[in-house]
Amino acid sequence: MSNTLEVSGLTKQYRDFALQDISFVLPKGYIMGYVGQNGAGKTTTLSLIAHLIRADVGLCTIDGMTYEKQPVQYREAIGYIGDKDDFVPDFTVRDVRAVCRDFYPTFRADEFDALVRRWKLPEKKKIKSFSRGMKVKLMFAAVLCRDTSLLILDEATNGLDPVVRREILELLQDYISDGERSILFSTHILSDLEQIADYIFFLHNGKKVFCETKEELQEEYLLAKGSLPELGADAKKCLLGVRGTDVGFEALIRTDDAACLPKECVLEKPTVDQIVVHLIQEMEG
Amino acid sequence: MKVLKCVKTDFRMMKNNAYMFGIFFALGLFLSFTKETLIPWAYLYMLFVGLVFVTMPFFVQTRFIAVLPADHVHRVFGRYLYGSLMILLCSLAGMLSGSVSMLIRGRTEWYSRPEMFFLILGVGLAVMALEFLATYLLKIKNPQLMSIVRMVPGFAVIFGGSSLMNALQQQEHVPDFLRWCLANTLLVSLLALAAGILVVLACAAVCCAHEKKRY
Repeated sequence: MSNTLEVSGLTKQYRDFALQDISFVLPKGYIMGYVGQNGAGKTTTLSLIAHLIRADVGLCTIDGMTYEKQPVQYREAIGYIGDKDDFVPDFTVRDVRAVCRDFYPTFRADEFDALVRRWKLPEKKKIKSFSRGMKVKLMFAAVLCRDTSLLILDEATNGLDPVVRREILELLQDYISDGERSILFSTHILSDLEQIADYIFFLHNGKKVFCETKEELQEEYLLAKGSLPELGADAKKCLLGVRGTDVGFEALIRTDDAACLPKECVLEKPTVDQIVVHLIQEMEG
Repeated sequence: MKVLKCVKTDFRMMKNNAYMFGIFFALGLFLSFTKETLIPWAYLYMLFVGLVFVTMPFFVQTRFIAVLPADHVHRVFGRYLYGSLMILLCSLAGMLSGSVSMLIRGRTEWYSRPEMFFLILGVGLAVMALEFLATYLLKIKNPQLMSIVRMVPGFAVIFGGSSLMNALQQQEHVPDFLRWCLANTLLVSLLALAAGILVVLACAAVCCAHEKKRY
């Protein structure tokens, strides 16, 4: 299995924040969810991969290419969709089409026009007057109508209504369906990852916590619910991110440690959201 | 080719301000009838307009533009070529508005000849190149400070140039060096143009090296 993206030892030091030694691989045909709290370093990592900023140490390759050796081909291989208004505010759909046609040799204007019509995006209106959903659709139209290997989504589905979000998630699944392309998807909406991600990379305070397949992750942990007074000291030590509820507690526990809990505790398969929230709670103390 | 595509994109980012140039040009033409110095004033005015507007692509640049597949050499030289073309356009507009008012008033001072065009173009290129250099190197985030960087070169040119014109009109106070310049206007203007082009190339090279370090 070859990799679309290989990240090794990526490090970036700022005055008040450091991204430290981030390494992972993303195989072809898969989607990786890149998760963490605000300020964990998600956007920094994605910007480093897209070479919008330069790493202090570390290397990124896309289909074996590095930015240092093939900057133009490296950028052509990336489709980047961010969380903010990525377009020049005074641009129109026509400007976006013209710029894409100028810079991307594989840009297919007819496909772009078809998507613009399908999504009813006004051609002559300035993008600054578009709704968030329209802007996101235009960003997708601009990257899906050309040949890319890696789609980088930085909170791209934030602020979208559920209908548009579902449509976008379907597009993402179509994108990887040929088994040659991959997606690195940073989001706070972990239910989106639940639906489409194959791998989950969890980042906390600039450091990697884990990078596993979604299935491995959900096998590694269980969600325990019960009453705290019934637990012995050993059992309490095994619990991760204990949260009080109206009827007792809810916490994460490693599957291997589950045997130490009394039979009265309920064990459930956790969602990605629950794993991440409890682990953050555990790390934050 | 990529450099030309970068130039095209910079002009595309500017196109919504094209009508502003039309307004400023018309205003410049109107005001040049009220000035005694006519052509120099028209040139300086259009150069001021150009120097204020020329940095606009730096400030409307978004991630869509930043991720375009072009390396730092394409981007920097594209930006400098765009800036040079803008200054050329403004110098031509200055010459046109000044010449029209000259023609109507039947005057033929030395500055109606091409020397003034070369001189203003050279000065404009040099100031634009330094303005771009400051913008690349300083990477200012504060909007107020950004406005200052955008406005200062234009004001420096219009006030500096006006002061020089006033000094030239009071010939008895003119230093020897300026007297020599007035006696050799063609040579001086061509030297100014060559110096302007050299400053553009030098600043572009410095910015390239700086951008290479950043990315």
